[in-house]
Amino acid sequence: MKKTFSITLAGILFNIEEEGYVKLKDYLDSIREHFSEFEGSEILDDIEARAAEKFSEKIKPSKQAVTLADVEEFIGSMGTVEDITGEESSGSRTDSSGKSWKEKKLYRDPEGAMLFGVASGLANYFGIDPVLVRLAFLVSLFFGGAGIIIYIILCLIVPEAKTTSQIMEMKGRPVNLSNLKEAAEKKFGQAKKNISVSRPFGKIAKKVRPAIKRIGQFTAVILGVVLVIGMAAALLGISIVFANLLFNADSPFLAFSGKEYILSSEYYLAVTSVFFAVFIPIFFGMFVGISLIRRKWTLKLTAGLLLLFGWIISIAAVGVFAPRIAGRYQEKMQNRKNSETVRDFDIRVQGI
Amino acid sequence: MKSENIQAQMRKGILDFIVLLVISRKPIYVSDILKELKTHELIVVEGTLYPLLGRLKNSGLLEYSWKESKAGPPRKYYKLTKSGKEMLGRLSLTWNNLNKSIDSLRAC
Repeated sequence: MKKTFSITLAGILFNIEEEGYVKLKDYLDSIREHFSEFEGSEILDDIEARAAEKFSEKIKPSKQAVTLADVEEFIGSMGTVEDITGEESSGSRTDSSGKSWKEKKLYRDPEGAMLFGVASGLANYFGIDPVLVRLAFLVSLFFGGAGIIIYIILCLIVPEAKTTSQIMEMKGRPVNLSNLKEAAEKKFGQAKKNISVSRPFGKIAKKVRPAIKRIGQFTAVILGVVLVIGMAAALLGISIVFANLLFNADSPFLAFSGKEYILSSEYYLAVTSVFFAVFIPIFFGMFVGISLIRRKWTLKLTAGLLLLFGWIISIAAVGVFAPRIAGRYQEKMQNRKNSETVRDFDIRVQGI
Repeated sequence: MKSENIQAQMRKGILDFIVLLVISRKPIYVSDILKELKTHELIVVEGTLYPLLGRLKNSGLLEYSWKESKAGPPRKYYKLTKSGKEMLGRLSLTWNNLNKSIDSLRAC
């Protein structure tokens, strides 16, 4: 079952299925946009009249609504929006294909910017993800900080892409009439959305807010990097420690006293539980770091729940085994101490 | 540049001339213009005719009258105005001259 819309084309009433309506509306709107008010309305009237004619032929008692297929057939015989609008705009053709690849220009990108758009601009120029560029700058901090100087130099030298045609040169799209119109329309659409938000402090807030937001985002990314590196190191460290505790427990190199008393199956279980109890939060911390860098929450709900569940179990296990082992350890240590004092006493007694 | 682009440009250049020529015979509406062109092996996308006809009309070369039709809305029947006929004359001359020049170019 399909929903239909009631439309008139050149004064003739049609029922048209929803999908057909959307497609037809899109087609007609695109054509209308391209022409001036005056000539556009007449051209559209003609095209609508033609549509009315064609659709009238398709309507009969057994088929009472215009379908998507009818619309597509109509558009097919009429020609694409480009065919129709291309005829009249000979001024915008830079070369006959109209889609020439243009050299990109390096600009600072104000739209994708975190601080000053340096990374975003570079990313646009080379066609890579801005995250990679930012990461490169941050990593360079650890290697003598040359990155900061380069960043500042770029910030001063590279111009910001302010006008629409500059933005298009930055992205490498050919600057011709249809692209400019597209870009302007997009911007207009965004501006409309912004107008509806009320700003209590007006001009000052306008300038300060984005700067604060950017500094906040910047710190978040740095924090993220620190977290990831730190957590990864911690993970490596505790993995080594616990691996040793598990597999090399009986090696003479591990010197903690009384270990001969606590090596048992319970011991291994306890160590494993402690390992997970420590590992999981560190692992989680790493995910938080990654999420900060990517500015997007990177942990899926099921995975998160699994981690949480695993952690609770390991804590419980620790809670069970640790006291038992501790108890046994204490017991044994107590016994050893007792036997040692007995020996001491013996020796002294004998030495009289 | 692909050859199709050059060829398309060539065709585009004489489209106004061709359309005026077809309309000069008798009052005619869009669908029939297309059919006429097709019989003479000139394939034109229907959508391109509407802006073109609008332009010619706004330049005073064409005028139209409405005729009722059985299957649908009324149709615009176009015919040439006086300036339209004059323009057609000039364009025919241009075409003949071009034709002669190209023939003589190829001949040598």
